[in-house]
Amino acid sequence: MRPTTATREDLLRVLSEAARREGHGDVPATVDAESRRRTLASMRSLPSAPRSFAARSRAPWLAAAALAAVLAAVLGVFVLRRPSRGVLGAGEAPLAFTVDGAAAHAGVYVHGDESEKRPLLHFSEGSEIVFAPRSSGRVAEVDARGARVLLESGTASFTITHLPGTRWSVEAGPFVIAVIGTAFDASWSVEAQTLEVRVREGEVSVSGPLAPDGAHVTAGRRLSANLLEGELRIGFISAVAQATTSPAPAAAAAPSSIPSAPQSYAGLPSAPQSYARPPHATAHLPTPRLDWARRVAEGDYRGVLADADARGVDGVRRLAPLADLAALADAARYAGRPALARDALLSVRARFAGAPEARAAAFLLGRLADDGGGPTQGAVSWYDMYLAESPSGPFAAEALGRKLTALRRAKDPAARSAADEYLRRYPDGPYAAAARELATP
Amino acid sequence: VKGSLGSVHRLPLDGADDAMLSRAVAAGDEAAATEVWRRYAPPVRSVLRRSIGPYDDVEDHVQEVFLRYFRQRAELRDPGALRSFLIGIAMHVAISELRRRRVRRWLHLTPTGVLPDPPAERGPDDDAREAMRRLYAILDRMDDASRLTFVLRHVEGLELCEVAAALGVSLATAKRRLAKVTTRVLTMVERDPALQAHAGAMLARSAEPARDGPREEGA
Repeated sequence: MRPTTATREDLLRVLSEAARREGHGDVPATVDAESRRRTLASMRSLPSAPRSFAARSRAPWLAAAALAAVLAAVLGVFVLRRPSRGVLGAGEAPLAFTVDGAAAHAGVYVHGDESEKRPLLHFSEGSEIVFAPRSSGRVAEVDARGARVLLESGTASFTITHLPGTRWSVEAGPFVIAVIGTAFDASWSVEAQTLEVRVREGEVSVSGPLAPDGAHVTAGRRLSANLLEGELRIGFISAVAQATTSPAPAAAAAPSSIPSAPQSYAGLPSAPQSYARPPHATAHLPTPRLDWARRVAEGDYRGVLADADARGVDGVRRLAPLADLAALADAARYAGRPALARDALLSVRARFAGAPEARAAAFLLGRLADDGGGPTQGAVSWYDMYLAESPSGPFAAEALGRKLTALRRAKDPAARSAADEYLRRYPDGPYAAAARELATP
Repeated sequence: VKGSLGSVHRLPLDGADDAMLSRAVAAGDEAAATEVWRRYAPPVRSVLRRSIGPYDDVEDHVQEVFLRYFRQRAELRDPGALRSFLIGIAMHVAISELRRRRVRRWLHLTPTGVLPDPPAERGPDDDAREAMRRLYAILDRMDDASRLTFVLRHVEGLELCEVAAALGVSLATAKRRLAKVTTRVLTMVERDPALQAHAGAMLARSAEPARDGPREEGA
């Protein structure tokens, strides 16, 4: 489809100009000065820094103290911001691990023979991998944050300890399973070119030829991919399958907490601590992929909402996969249907507690309450919940800033402590000026 | 100006060329490092913003670029090529960040990794902002090298040889990559009616600059 009113050259020019204009290099002088100060302070501390850099400091002890603080802050930022391994982890000792009790090193090949004995890999931070008989794999890399494991064939069970900065990945054929902290089983067949991932706790993201953007698989669900047939499915782990795979005490024992009716969401809910569908109720539930996330990304908010209305919003809220439910919430927010957005976000929290989307939903629920003009405490409770669940999450600064703004608006004395906390954590944040007006002198 | 380290310290830094500045930094002159920051932090910041996304906070990355420069200052073979050296480092930092974001997208609500805000009342800047959101969503679908080639050439306005140098590829590779990514991006732009509408509105406004001003004055 060629535009009728603008040539390609016009489009390229106007978009490039807009990108140039919007992405300018100007920042407030205070931001630039602070960045420069931090950078030069860090420069002075580099081992290779010329002596003259440090020698020119008027108060070396003060500079050293400031430097330590800056370095700690910079390192903290990097730790939080860098999911990739091998950058910060370079200076840290890699995890130690054993194979059936014997010390092992990266590159070790593990093979489960015909016997029932299952090779056990135990890592120093508590993670464990068990290879099933006639299964094989390799620990390709190990660093301070986790490991990269290759599942060459067969089945392995993974129980990965979740620690700050944890980063594990499992590669099976062309698929990569990204892991943060979870328990799951993975099976890969070279001959059949099939992958199956069954998640017992937490969540994994599987990317590969049939899921280039990554497919989320949450606790109680399984992903089946067949490369030969070009098919990828995500469904619930059936009762039979759960009984025959590795034990999953946390997921199996958790009570069902999925609300069955929208009215059960009324009021300020708290997220359930865990969620597992009753097997008998879920084994045959259809979980069609609606691809709403892609449609939202393309701006088709109203199309998504129309689709949801046609299918029945209540059913969607109870049955839709996480990605579609989250996309429905986004579409509703964008299209100005806050009630539907709120219901969808509440469903995300109720059904997928513990998932990153559920944590983000707390922040968005706070925003909806905030923007909707409801009681201040409603919004603040959601912001608090987000901050408790994701103290360093991507919306932590915004949640804290909005919290102090809401409290100030309500003339709540708690605004001062929120302002103090904001300034302590984000002295240069966008709410810093407002916080300073409120902060303890 | 010439000679000992002591005399270097008295350089009139604001008038020093890049080669003099680089040598002074290498010799440990903190004032020279400050001048390098003053001179090049804005272009580094803009190239990072344009590469990663125009509305993102890139201060951490700006600091990272300059710290890497200081660590690697001895590797700067041509002291006069300071700007190119810094842009090259910025490209490495941008690529690292783009990779991290790709991973981070798994953890967000939408494939773009961006939580969209509900639209507020429309203003003249909204077209540009929405167009940029959509353009960068398209760029998110390109590989890093192609994305940066597009940005450096079309947005940053670098010559092809500069693009090649910044990305560490041959001129032929940069040329081939640019042709391919430009075609891909424009094809995807044309398939996005909303983006075309925003671009059309911007084109219309850019064609009538004189009429907008007086109206605002009068209002």
